[in-house]
Amino acid sequence: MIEVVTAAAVVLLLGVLADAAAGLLRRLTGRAEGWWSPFRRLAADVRATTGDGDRASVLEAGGAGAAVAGAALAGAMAAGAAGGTLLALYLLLLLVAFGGHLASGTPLTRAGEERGARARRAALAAEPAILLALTGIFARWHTGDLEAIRGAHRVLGLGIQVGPAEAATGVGLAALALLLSAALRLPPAPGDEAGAQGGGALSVTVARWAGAGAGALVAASLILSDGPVAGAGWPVQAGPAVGAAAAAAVVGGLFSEVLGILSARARVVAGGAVLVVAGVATTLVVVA
Amino acid sequence: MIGDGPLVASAVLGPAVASVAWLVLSRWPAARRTTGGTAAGLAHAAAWVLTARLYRGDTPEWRGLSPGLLEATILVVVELGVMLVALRTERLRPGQATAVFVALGAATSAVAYGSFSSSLAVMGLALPVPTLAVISAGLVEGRTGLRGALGLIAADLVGLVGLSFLVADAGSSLAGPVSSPGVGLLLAAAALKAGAIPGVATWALTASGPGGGVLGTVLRGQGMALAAVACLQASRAPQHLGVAALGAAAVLAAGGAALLARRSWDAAAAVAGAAAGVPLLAAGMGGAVGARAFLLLFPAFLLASALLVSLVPSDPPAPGSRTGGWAGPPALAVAAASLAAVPPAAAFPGAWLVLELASARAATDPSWLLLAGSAAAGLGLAGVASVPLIRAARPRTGLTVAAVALSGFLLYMGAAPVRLTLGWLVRVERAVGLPEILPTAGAPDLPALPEGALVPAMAAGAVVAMALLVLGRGVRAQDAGFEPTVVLRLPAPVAGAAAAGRRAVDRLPVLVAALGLAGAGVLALLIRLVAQAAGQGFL
Repeated sequence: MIEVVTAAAVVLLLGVLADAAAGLLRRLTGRAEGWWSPFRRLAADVRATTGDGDRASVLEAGGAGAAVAGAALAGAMAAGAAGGTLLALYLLLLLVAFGGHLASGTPLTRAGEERGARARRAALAAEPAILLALTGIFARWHTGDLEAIRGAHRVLGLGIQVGPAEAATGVGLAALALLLSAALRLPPAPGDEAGAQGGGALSVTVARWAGAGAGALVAASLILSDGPVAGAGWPVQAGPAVGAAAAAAVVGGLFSEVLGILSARARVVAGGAVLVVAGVATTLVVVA
Repeated sequence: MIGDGPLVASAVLGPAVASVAWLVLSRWPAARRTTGGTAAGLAHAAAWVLTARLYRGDTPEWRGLSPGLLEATILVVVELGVMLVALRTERLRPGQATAVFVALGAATSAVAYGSFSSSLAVMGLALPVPTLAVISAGLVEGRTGLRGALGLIAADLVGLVGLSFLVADAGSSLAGPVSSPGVGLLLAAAALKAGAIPGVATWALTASGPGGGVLGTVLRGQGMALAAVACLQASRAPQHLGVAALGAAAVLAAGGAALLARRSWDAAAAVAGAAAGVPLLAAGMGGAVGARAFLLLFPAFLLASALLVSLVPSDPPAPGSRTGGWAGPPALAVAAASLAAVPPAAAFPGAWLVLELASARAATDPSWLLLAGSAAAGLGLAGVASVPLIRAARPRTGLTVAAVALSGFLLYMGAAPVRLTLGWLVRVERAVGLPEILPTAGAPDLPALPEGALVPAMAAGAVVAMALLVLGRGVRAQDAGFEPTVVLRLPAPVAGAAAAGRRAVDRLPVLVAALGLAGAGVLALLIRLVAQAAGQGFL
């Protein structure tokens, strides 16, 4: 199905956008010379891989591949190119996270080891938050079937438009919590220390693009997608959802960059805050 | 063509005969491998032939043992797992390896004997044999080998009480549908034997190291056989909210324990424990969909946990020895993904069915959502926490070849569950007397992922992975060890008290005395069960 391959391309492009937003924030905070620093790093990794023989391990490459496969399916499912349910979506996003952490699992430096373990710890907060966010969406429409949710969007209106106001706010917050928890689950960005460049870093970058892009597309589609998408019309046909996904990718990229700056303790607090947002969203939907 | 009697006898007694051959020839490596391996292979072939005949509709029988398709399949799956972990057993110390081989064979035969019989008293007689075999093998290793032994005896005690209830409530010594608290007790015993309960029984045994890990494979098989008896033979898949809650809580606790694991074997026990809770959640949920989920989950769980145990990194190869190169870690990644229900690996379709069923029931009772959420979060944590385990895998060449083949099968199980299992599912469900699942009733049904979408997504992922490898013109060798994800530092008084308690329990004389006492309890219950069954015409 060409739609799934298109979804793979869309999520990777959204991930690139998230990286660009992160680069811009890095530039604005004076930690990089230009907003393009992630792409300069990418070019250096490609050079190190092809020229210097700094190859990827099979786990790194396979992890990145698994993340892309999961992101493509999750994106296609959320946008309406394939049928599915919220729980299938959760498990596909788990494949994206699993692949991403495999890609960052065999670093060549001690600092890379620490970054990897820190990122896996962040999953502690991300797992309940992502589940709570999905529960909020489920509670809003009383179904986990994505086609039924899109049908409700078509007939009744989008989740953030249909009243009461508390429920609409809850759905919006649930999508935000989903986006932020997807960012919490990302593998760590490659480090700048000596020895951290090459195929491994390249694999992690691709896995991060897949994770960030899938999070953005899924979050946006769950509140804005209103019909099945198919053939050459997709993604143009799903314009509003893809546009919102681009905005979400920027937000996700900025959040993930902020997480990278924070101390370990502050990161735990940020994870807790996402969990609170998800909890508030679900409560609002249930109470309404 | 082989007759019914010899066929069933070979399937049941073959593993024990193979282990005796191994024991007798243990001084001569080539002879023990040839003879023991051939005997084990023939026993396994007999199990396959038996399963094929049952699938065709035959009803082979031998001396009161009349297996159904479900029980024969459990034996095939358990034996596949045992043969895989046996490849690792040769790497243990010589005395320990022989003890483990003998225990594996005896325990596998006992599991087969117990599950092939429809008599509850025979099931009771076979129930403590695997525990006895594991304890005997553990005594060779000393204190470490006896970890989990008390929990295993506790499981036997609970199981025997459950069987006793079933005999009393059914008014017969034969297994048949009955409403009894015995069903819940049998499922609790199954949870302990399957390694779902953190820190005790099979979980503790697996965490003790390679010897215990290998032996845990057959105990997990016994756990699944017990769950099948409780959920399908002794009842028509009723709902047990308590068992479902136990399963969901166990998955969540195991996910957390996987993150806190300090050693590779702790992590392996936790990841396998998380997966063990899901079939129990399915069995506790009951109904036609819960039973179907259980039927899909148990082979995935048994095969993937055996693959995990066979590849857990604990004995790094000596410098210069041949390893399977880069292929070991991906095979372990597939095993971990299968256990954590990551799509499209083996446990994914069954786990998806369980979670969908729970969310469907949540429409009328929101507490099901809590159970589904706990299980999903536990699986997610276990998946992410298995990464340090995966990266450190260094299996030897022979094991790697077998592991890669099995990991390919696990991916096929998850990707095409309908194609692989539909005929088998229909036959087993009909034999057990479960109601048919009608798609028009709105019950969740497979496939979990549209097959047409799975192939292009996997292709896209494969293209990316290949591109990354082609760019570097090859694969980098990886050399990483196990690193804990979260190091929990307990306050000094708590840590001190825990260590003192562990030392007290670990003292060999204390442990042996406790085991003897608990064993006497098992014997007393066994005698009571046989006497009770005799009153119903068993003898």
